[in-house]
Amino acid sequence: MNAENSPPDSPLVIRDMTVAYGRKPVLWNVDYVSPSQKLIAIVGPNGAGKSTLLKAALGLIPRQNGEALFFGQPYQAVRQRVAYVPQRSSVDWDFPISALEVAAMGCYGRVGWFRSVNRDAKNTALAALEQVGLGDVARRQIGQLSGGQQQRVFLARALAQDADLYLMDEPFAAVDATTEQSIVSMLQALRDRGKTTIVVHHDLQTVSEYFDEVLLLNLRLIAAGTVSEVLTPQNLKATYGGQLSILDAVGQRMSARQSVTS
Amino acid sequence: MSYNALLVLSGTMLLGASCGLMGVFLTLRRQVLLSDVISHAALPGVAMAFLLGLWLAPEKAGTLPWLVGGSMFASGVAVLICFALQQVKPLWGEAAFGIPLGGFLALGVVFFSIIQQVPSGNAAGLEGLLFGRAAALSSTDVLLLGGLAGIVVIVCLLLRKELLLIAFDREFAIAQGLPVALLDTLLTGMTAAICVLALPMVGFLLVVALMVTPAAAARFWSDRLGLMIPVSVVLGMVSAGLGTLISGQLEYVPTGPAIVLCATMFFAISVCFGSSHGFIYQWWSQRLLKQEQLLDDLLRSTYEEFEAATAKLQSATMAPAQTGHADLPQLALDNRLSGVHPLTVAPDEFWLNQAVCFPKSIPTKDLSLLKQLAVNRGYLRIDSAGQWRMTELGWQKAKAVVLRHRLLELYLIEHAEFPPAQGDRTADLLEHALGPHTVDELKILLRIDFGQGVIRSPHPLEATSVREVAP
Repeated sequence: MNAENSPPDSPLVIRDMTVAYGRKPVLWNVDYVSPSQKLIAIVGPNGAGKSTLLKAALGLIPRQNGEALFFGQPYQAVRQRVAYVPQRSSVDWDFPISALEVAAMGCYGRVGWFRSVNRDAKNTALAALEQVGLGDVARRQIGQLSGGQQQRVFLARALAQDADLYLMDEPFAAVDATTEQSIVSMLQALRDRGKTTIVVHHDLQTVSEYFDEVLLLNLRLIAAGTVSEVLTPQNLKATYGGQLSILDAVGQRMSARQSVTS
Repeated sequence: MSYNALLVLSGTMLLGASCGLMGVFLTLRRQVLLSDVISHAALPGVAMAFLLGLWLAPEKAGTLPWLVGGSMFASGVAVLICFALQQVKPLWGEAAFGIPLGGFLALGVVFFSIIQQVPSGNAAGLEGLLFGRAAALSSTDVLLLGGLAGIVVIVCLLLRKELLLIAFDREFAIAQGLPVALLDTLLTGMTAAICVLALPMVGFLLVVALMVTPAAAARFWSDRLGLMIPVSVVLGMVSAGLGTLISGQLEYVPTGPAIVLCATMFFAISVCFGSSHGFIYQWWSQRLLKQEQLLDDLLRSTYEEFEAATAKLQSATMAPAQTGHADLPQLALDNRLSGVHPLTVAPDEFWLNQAVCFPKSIPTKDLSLLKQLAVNRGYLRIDSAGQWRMTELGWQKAKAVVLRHRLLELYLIEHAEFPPAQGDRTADLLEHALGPHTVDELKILLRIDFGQGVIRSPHPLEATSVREVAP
């Protein structure tokens, strides 16, 4: 690992992070140092804790143990440099709000408290929407957009924030192949501008085509590194194979026992 | 109208407006039941405050600040209990709210029964709080209620952006570093405050209606929060004002029901005529759209009548091979290469002098309306001899409509591999949705560039039967 990628400058460093939902642990002792200016995929089976990893790193759900540093600092200190793109299903798309207003939310941090969204923010948001090819539907209510367009509105909101690290939760879920391609080329353009992107991804087939680095996850970190290093038969077997059932069973037993005793 | 009555009226209107505002956030956050809990918990709060007042300071027991304080306290406790219950596993959202609601209501009724037994209880005017009695308010009461409501409104408007964000996307709001828990508490607190402040006016049974109804009505007028908020505020304000006036005229009608009936009436109007989701509005705009489509169809059929008529004229002088439609895809290609339709080479003025034939494909019931519409738009005219003729404008429009249809048809046949007959039918359905922008795109895609002309139809035009020539 060269000096540029050493921990203090790394966009995301996770140290010994354990996360539990309720009483059931869903991530065990994850240690990870992300390289910078790369397109990184988090891959693993359903329920492997992929989304949880991002959310816990951002502090959206509590960590039981461990810490996450962004650019060598706690998240609170560098919020504006980190953009989070939640799953599309996490919001109510009937909400009476336009694509432009959603994209402008990326600028709220710069606009500040008590002020209404100013012209600067609106222009930034519109530029971001144009960048993702939604310039002509900017004024539409978000419920009138297709699934792929909704996903791109979220992307535009992150772009409007102009961050250095982008954390995306399943941006390819339920979008058509064309949208997937256009999102990938946008992410690659971000990387070429020196940004880092970490994406929760569900499709093992396209990992080597889309991404530079990959992080294999199944309740614990199996392997992380460049795509060619990590995607070995042994690693994949460890991620998707049956050996993990014991760890899972232990988690469930722990939760069952504690709910009896408490 | 006396000064006091005017003050009461403006006070209730301000409270109505603030109810409309808070209602927008309540409905967006799907927390309507919360305001129900707040208002029902206010009942035992008021009763307790009254009893406590009798014991501590009898001369102040029935006064408004005392009662408002009591209901705020009880509502706060109820909300806290609700939120705590929400965290408990086997309970689901509605039960967590419904159970405290019932409990507090029952408690309130018990307290009220006790108050009825107390000598000064009947005279205290607590019944006003059941259904509201704005006329009973003194000017100091109104200033207190209105002032507090004003503060809430200002805070709410200042924090509009932040409150909107936590309502829309909580996770993103947390990630952005907003103090979500604090904002939640603030918003709930402000909702409780407005609820309680509106009690003397609307009564605790109906306060929810005044919060929810204007906001729900506003949703039928707009898909944009920027418009929804003012509409809801105005509806709340006007309902409150009207209701107060009505109840002022008919003294036996409490204020609350009068206000809520007005709000419900506005809701009914909005459901019908709202410019975004109102169903009569939608039906009407569908109808206008349909007429627009029929008008396009009329122009296109008329154009094609002309075309068929000329083809007959010309076929007498031309070789038969040139008029046949043997190989359709080949013909489509020919069209693109030859560009200008040979039949439109005749000067436009020639066609303007031909009598218009109305084809049978236009339904009889629509025909007279369509004729009227076409005349209003300046597409058709009746000349001095009573003959229907196209105007210059109508002719240009007809050419554009025909070109649009044929471009789409050609596109469907060449690019989407539709069989020619199906291409025509599908184009019939889709063509009305094409904007000028898409037409230009089609021209580029099909490599058709010939200025204003019209291309030949990719399929043979059947001679349609003509309905009538005279008007």
